[in-house]
Amino acid sequence: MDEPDCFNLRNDAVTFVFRKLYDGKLDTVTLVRTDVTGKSVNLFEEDTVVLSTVSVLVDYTAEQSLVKLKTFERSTSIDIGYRVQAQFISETCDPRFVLSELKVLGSDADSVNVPNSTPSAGGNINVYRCPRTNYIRIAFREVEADGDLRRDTLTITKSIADFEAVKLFADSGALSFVRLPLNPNSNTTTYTFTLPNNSSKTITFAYTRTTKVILPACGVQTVFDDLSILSSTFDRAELFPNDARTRLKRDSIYDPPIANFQVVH
Amino acid sequence: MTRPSQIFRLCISLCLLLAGGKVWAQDSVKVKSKWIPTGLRIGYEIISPIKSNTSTHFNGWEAIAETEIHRYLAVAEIGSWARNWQADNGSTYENDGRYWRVGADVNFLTKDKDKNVFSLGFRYARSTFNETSTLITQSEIWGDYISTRSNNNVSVGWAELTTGLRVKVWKVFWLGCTARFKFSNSITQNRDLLTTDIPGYGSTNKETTWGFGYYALFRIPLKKSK
Repeated sequence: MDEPDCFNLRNDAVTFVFRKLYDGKLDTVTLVRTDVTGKSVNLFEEDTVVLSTVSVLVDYTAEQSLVKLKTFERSTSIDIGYRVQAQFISETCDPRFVLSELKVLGSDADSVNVPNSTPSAGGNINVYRCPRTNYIRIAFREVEADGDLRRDTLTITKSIADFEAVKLFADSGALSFVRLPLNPNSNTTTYTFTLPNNSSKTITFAYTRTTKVILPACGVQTVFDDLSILSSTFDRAELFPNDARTRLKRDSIYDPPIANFQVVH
Repeated sequence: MTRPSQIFRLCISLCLLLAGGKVWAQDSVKVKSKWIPTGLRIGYEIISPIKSNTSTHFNGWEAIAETEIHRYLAVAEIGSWARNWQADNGSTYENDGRYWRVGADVNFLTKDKDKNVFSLGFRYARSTFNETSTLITQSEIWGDYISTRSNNNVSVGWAELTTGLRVKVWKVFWLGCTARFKFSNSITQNRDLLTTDIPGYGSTNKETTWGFGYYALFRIPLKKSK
């Protein structure tokens, strides 16, 4: 028989696209691990990777796969179904498997949809998340000779919150800013950072909480306002100065987060 | 430019052709009956039986009948084709089906006294077949997989552009060959087993394909040449 090429025999890579539910734009996540039906199928070599889309190889020997996407922020399970057509190719090639009619059978993501039901052809499944209402951003600064503040970095070896918090930064490396979640069950949140010389710095934030329906799909969410610093052991910690060119309020939380505070160490 | 008298003559000729015999026009003028079939060739494709006996992967035959009408040939072909393959990893595929083709050729050797033929033509073809495949694969992630899938009574049509030669060898015995450019197959590939090979057409892994046939034919004169 004619000898066809023995490659591109499977279109079993399903691409997930992380998006924000608020505006549908791409989201950026720090991916820790991907599992499909209990099997690790990372397509990248690093332990963690920052991305907006990720492709995972699904089980072409079945018509259903349970995909788990673990990011710093959360772990999301998506049960997907699809049709698998098979074809004998040649005496020297493995069979070809063609996946199509991709659909989501179940998911614990905030919202999902399938813009493209043919795997290996662009983004297949959009994974939406609700607005994050409790993440503040702290910028690290140093004082220049003339008294002005300029960008600086800080190396944090460990961070501890006074509640069960999910941090959004690595515990090593020099950071110019950190994103920190606030405790949604309290009006204050305290963080303790351990620095490389084993010294530690503590900072406590205060805020008010109200509940609000931002998007119907997300239900009632807690909104944090009137952010302030209650106490700090850093040399200096204050609200980030307002920029006259924008109408952003530094004592409120935005998604994606804006710099709320600046800290000098 | 076509004159009314020519159109009239063409209509009369077509009527004569449909009637299949010699008739007289109302004005008692004998119409030149160039549209009456002058010969019928029936033949057999000679490569298929050789392949069937020498290859373990193929079994088939093909027969042809063509009628000379003026400088045209009305052609009908019928055949059978069964294939089976086994892959290195143990996967197997087999199909078995019948096919037919109908069409017409234009003969460019109109003045040849032996009525030899060099032709260009067109065919519409259709195949009906069954196919079965046992698909085996080993995956590092998903483990071993084996599945047997079948399609029954699959029907596929396609078109062909052809060119051919027919040469008189001895008395009524002729030899010929036809090359075919096959295209526009109507396979929908919406089944769980995707079709690998269409009897009469060939592999589905390309949009178009080629075919070639050698024929042994017998010519039966239907009208005595002047």
